Amino acid sequence: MNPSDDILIIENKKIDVENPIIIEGVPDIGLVGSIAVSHMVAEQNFEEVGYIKSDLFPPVMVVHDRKVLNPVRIFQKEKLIAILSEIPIDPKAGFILSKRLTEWYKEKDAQLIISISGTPIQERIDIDEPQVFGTSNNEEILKKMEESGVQILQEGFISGFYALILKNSIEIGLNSSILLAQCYSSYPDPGAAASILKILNKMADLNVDVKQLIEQAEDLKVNYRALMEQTNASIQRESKVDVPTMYR
Amino acid sequence: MIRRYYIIKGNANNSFRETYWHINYCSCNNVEPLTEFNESKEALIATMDMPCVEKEKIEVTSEENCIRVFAPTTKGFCFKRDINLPFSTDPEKVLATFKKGILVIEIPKKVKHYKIEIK
Repeated sequence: MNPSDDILIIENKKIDVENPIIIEGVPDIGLVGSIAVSHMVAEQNFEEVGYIKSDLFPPVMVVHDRKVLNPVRIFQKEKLIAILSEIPIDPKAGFILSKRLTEWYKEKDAQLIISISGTPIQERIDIDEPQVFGTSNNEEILKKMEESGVQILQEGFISGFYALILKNSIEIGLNSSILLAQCYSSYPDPGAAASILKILNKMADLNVDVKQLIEQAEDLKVNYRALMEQTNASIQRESKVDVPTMYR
Repeated sequence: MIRRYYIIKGNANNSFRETYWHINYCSCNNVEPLTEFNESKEALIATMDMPCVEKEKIEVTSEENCIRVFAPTTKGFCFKRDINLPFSTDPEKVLATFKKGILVIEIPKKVKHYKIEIK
């Protein structure tokens, strides 16, 4: 039997919420998205409501608190839906997953998609409070982001999985935004994840306490080391995609 | 944890080359730290992510063509990395700093060519 290119979104519990806000945390630079979303769902007691499966994903299952779990899971709390991946998404899987996810967001009539990532900075070691940059395809959301303390990107480019989410969102009429915290390029960065969560607290009326995240930063860096190593390898494969000459 | 070093100084032609055998008797597993390199004309800068490590317990040894890093963590494993240099360095000029769980090693390249001023 050949592996299939399908991506299936399985809802263990029917997700029936009007105009949800979707928060995405997929491993990429600094693992900012994965760390932020993982902390948010644990700290705010989100309920696990589903998972995503595909033959395009690496053959990995994760174990947390003695439970064997799918590595790409869906969580919900009231109007918020969180997508958390604990495996790096390779380019081929990324193309199909981004398309399937945005279609699913459309079915759910999502009011906003917030993708969380990082932007590497050489001087990160000297920065105590990383700044958060962002962009969106909706002017009103850009204003709200600015009010929440996000520095809006004036020029630049987004690449990788979240670029596809943004592209597909524009095509099918969804409001999408990306938050990028200053981070280390090759190391897990809980400090950058904390900066993002402070912004999310304002943007999505959350109340995530980041104190524990900062206090346990060293432990988290040890726990996320293997995922960071796999993600760095995945980013290197992805970086073979040409970026526009003016940004090189 | 018992760790020992055997250092043999000098060789037949009495050069200053030193050879270090770093014998690690600790029972923990060695793990390579996540590492980044930045190279310029003058130096190679290696940064290593080493969480759960105490500055006092980090050991960095430098040779002309190799930098060795070893650090036990509080989590029951050790970070270990040997960097084989594609150039020669002056071992005594290698600098290392540790801040926020990140070790930065600045490895200057030995100058081999001088521009001679013509008088």
